[in-house]
Amino acid sequence: MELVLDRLTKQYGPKIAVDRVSARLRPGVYGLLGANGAGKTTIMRMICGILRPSSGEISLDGRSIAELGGEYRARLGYLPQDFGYYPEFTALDFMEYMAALKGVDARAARARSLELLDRVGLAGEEHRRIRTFSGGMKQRLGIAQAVLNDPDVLVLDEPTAGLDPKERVRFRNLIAGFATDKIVLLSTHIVSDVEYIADSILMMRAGSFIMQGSPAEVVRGVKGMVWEARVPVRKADELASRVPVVNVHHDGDGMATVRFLSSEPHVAELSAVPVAPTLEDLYLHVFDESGAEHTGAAVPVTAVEGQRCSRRRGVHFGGGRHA
Amino acid sequence: MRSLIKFELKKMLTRRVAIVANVGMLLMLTVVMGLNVVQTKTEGNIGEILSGPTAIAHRRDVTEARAGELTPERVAADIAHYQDIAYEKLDPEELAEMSNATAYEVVAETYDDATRLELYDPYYITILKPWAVKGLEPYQYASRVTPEMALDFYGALADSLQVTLDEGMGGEWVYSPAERAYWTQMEDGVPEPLTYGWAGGWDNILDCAAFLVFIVFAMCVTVTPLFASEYRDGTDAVLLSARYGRGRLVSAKLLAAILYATVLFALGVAIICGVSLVFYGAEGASLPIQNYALASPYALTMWQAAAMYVGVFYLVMLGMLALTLALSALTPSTLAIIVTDVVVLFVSGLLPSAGSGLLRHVFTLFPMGLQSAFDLFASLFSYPLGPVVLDLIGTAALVYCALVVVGVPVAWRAWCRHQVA
Repeated sequence: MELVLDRLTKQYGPKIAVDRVSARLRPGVYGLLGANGAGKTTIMRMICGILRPSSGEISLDGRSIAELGGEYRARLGYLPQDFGYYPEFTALDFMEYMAALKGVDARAARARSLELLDRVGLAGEEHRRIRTFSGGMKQRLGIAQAVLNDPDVLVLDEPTAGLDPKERVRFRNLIAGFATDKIVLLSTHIVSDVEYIADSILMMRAGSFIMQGSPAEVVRGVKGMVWEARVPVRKADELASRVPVVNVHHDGDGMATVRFLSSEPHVAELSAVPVAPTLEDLYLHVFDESGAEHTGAAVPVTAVEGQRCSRRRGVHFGGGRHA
Repeated sequence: MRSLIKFELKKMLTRRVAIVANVGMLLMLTVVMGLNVVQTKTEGNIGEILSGPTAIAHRRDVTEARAGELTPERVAADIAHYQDIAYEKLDPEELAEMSNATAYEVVAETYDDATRLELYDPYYITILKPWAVKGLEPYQYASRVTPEMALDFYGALADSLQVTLDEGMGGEWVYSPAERAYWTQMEDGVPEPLTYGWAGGWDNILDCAAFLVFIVFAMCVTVTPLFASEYRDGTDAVLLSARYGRGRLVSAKLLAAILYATVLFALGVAIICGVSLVFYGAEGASLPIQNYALASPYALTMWQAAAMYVGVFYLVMLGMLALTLALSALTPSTLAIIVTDVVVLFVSGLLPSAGSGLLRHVFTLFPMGLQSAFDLFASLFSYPLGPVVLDLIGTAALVYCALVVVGVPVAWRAWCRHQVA
C-alpha cells in the first residue's frame, strides 16, 4: 500500500497554504510536525478528500483518491482538529451513527463500538450524552470513531489535544497496536507524542515538507548543538536572550541548569557540556518560541524524497525565498 | 440507511429550538382551532345570542331545514317566498333606494326577530347570489328578480361568471380569450342542479387550513440546521470523509427531513380536520364546493376541495423544505436561513399589490397569498403560459414542485462539493 502526494498545492488567493508537496507514504506512523499555519491541517484535509487541492494529486496504490471516491473513504479514518459532535447523542449513538456512515455492518457495529469505547477508556460511559463529556472524553470518542472501520489510512489531526498524560499514554498504545500495515499520519504540538510512536517525522514549514526521516535521523540534524550548563540564575536569563533555551531548571542554590541550543562554540565560557539531542530540541531549533520559523543558523537536514524540486518556490528551511 | 435516517431524525428533533417550535406550533394550532369553536356565535330563533357548539348546532339545524337540490323551480318558488316575506310591510322600491344601513334599520324596526333572521337566512342569500349587488342587503335587490329570472338560476350563475371576467378583478387583470374559455369551460362542467346542505366541518377546514403555514414555519426551524449545523459545529469534516458521507448520508438527511415534515404536517392536518369534523360534523362531504362559494366554477365536492387545499399546502411545505435544505447546504448561518424563510412565508403576505394584477397574481402564489380558500376556488386567478392556462391551484403546485426539483439537487450538490477549509 502506498499513498502518494504528488506536487500537492493549496492556494487561497495570493496565499500559498501548501506548496507543491510530494511524498510517498507507506505503512507506518508518520508524525507531522510544524508551527501553526505551517499547512499541516490543510494537507490532512486534502488527504481526507474534504479539501480540493489547487493542483497536484493524491493517489492510493496508483489510483487517484478523487477517482476512488467512496472506495477510498471506506479505507480512511479521520479525526479532525476541531472535532464536532452531537451534544444530544450518547457516546454509543455517535459510534453507531459513524459506523453506519462508514459502512460497518450493522450487526457488528455495536460490538465494535463498545470494544473501542472500552479501549479509549470510555467503558461505562456509552449511554451518557456527549454534552456531559469533558474535553478529553470527547477527544477519546473522536479517536474511537476514527478507527471504527479499521482504516488502512488513518489521519489524526492533533489527536492528543486535551488529553492528560495518562490518556496520552493510552492513545500512544492504541495507535501503536493499530498501526501495523497501515498508514498513520498524525500531527501534534506535543513533540514527545510522535517521538515515541512515529516511524517517520515529517516536518513542515510554510506549506512545505522541510525534512523527513526517522526520529533518530532527523534529530541528528542538531547533534552537537544541544548543551547543558549550570549557571547562576541571572546568567540563565541573559543566556535566554542570546540563544534558544530549551529548558531551565532552578537548582535552589542560586544556580540553574540550562539546556540550550547553539552552533557556536562560545559555550565554553559557561562550562557547558554537549548532551544528546531530542526531537523537542530539533523542533525548537526550527521554530522559535512564537511558533514562527527560526532564521538562525541552519542545521543539516534530510530533504524529503521528491521534495527537492519544490524548493524553487515558497519559504524554506535555512531562510530566504528562492526565486 | 434506516439507522442513518433514525440518527438524522434524532439530530433534528432533539434540538431545543426544534422541540419548542414543533410542540409550540401544534399547541397553538390546537388552541386556535378550539377558540374557533368556542367563539362561534349566531342568533337563535328569537334573536338570542348562541355561542360555541350550541351555535354550531343551531346553524346546522337552520341549514338542514333547507337542504336539498336547487332545482330552478325550487329556487324560483323560494325567491318568490322571500319576496313575499320581505315586502309584506315594506315597499321594495323604497328599500332599494336606501343605503344598506338605513335599510337594515328599517327592516329591524318593521319586522320581528324571526322574520328578520329569515331574511338573513344563508339559504336565501345563496339563491339570490347571482343577482347580488355589492354593498346592498339581500332584500334590497331581491325585488329585481322576476319569476322568469329565478327560473333561469343557472343561466344567471353562468352570466355572473362572464360579468366577473369582464370586470377583470376590479380592472386589475385583463383575461385573455384563452383564460375566458378556460373558466367558461370549467364552469360548464359543474353538475346541475346543485345540492344545498350543511357541510360545516368541511367549510371550517377550508377556512382554517391556512393555519398550516405555522406548521410549515416549525418545519423550517427544525430543518434549517440539517446541513448548516454540520458546517457550524465542525462535524462536516468527519461526515464528508466517511464512506457514505456524500451519498447515503444525503439521502438519509433528505428522507428524514421529508418523513419528519410529513408527520408534522399530518399532525397539523389531523388537528384542523379533527376539531372541524368533530365539532362541526362530517356530513356534507359530497356536497358541491358551491356550498362554500356559489361562484366557484369547480366541479368539486366539499371533501375534494378540502383535500385539494390541504394538498396545496403540503406542496407548499415540500417546496419550503427544499428551499430551506438548499439554503442550509449553502450557508452555515441558520439565522440567515430562518430570516429568508420568514420573508417567504409571512412578509410576502404584507406586500402591497393593489393596482397591479400581475403583482397580485405573483404574491398570491406565496404561502400567505394562499391563505384564502375562496381565492383558490372562486376568485378566478389564472396564469396564461402561452396557449396553456393554469389556475391558481395548478400554478401553485407547479411553483412548489419546481422548488423541490431545484432545491433538492442544489442541497445535494452543495453538500457534496463542500470544502472544509
